[in-house]
Amino acid sequence: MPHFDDTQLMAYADGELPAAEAAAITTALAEDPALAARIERFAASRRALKQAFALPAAEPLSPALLKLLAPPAATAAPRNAVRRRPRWPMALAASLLLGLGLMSGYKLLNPAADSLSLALETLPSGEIRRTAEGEIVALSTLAAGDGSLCREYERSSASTSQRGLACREGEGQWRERALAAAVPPDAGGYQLAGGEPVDAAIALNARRLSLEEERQRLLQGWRD
Amino acid sequence: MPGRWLAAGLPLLSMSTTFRDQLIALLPRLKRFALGLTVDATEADDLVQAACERALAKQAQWQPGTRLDSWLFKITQNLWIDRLRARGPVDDLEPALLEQLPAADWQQGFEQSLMLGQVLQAMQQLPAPMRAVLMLVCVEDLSYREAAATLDVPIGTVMSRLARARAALHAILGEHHAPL
Repeated sequence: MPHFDDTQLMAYADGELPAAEAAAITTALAEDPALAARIERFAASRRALKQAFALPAAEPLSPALLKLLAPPAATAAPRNAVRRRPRWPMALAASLLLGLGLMSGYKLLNPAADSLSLALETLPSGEIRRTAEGEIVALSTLAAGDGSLCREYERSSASTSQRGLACREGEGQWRERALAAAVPPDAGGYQLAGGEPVDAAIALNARRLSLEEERQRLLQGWRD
Repeated sequence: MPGRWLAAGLPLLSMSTTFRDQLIALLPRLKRFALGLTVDATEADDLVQAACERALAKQAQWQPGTRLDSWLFKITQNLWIDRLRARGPVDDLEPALLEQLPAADWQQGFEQSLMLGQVLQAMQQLPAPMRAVLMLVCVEDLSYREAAATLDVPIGTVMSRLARARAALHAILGEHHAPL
């Protein structure tokens, strides 16, 4: 069995390993469950840091920063002497709006579902897939009471991070069923359409697959 | 990559937005980075203030088209290291702490819902250069190469620090956090 050191496994978890080396690890994973656990620890530390440091929605600037970042008064147009209000909040609002506009325009052109389906169809839990929009981390696989399979994942872009639950609906198709903030008030709490936070596994009458079970199903294209 | 591109302060708009506007848009991330370095909210505010002052003073040195966020992180990190040096010797990169760490039970490791306070407490036990690389890669999503450029160290150093920092974090947090 080939030996991989921690730095290599970390680079694999971070999607930073050259393709050939990554392929060697992917192959080895099929025969060595312990390897998946070693990779998972790196994925877990990244997830935990990311979620703990999720940006606050709005944070007031300190007076000192406000003063520093206000544009220099009336350097360009002395006629503006009447209009003394600093214009940076407008600029900030405008750039935020532009950012949002760009994001939604991008989503229209590239339906997010495709990159999500692709990631959930192929990623073992604990691994990260970088997509055009950001990152998708597969978190776990659930077997629902009715035999269908669902997966928990985290999807993050530069500005947001959300946990989601999607279920497999046909070959290679995963549909999003529920979303939660990246740091849920209680572990496992999802906001379903009804508005009640629920534990995903309970809602689906599901159980979480072990990494080994998940690996088997993934290798078989999610068939029994 | 659009995520990166948006994160970099919308360089496409740089012709219509000023340096100041872009700096303001990046403040939440700058503040977060400073918090990760200093592990102290007041110190972080002070560091961001100083970094903004320096960034404004040196803005002619920033090359439009390159990542403004990385440039600001670099300024912040350098200021922080300067401050630490002024206070005494900077933490050794191979602290005794790492030698003493118990072998972590990775299987039962920490999970999703760690609070910021818990993580900050753990980060406090890591040397400053490890905090910087954790923040840049795991929180700010810089690639190893970008982190190396930001910190002015070889990529191999980024990787070894990052791996050790994550192992240390895992061991510290794993001790205090009940497995799921």
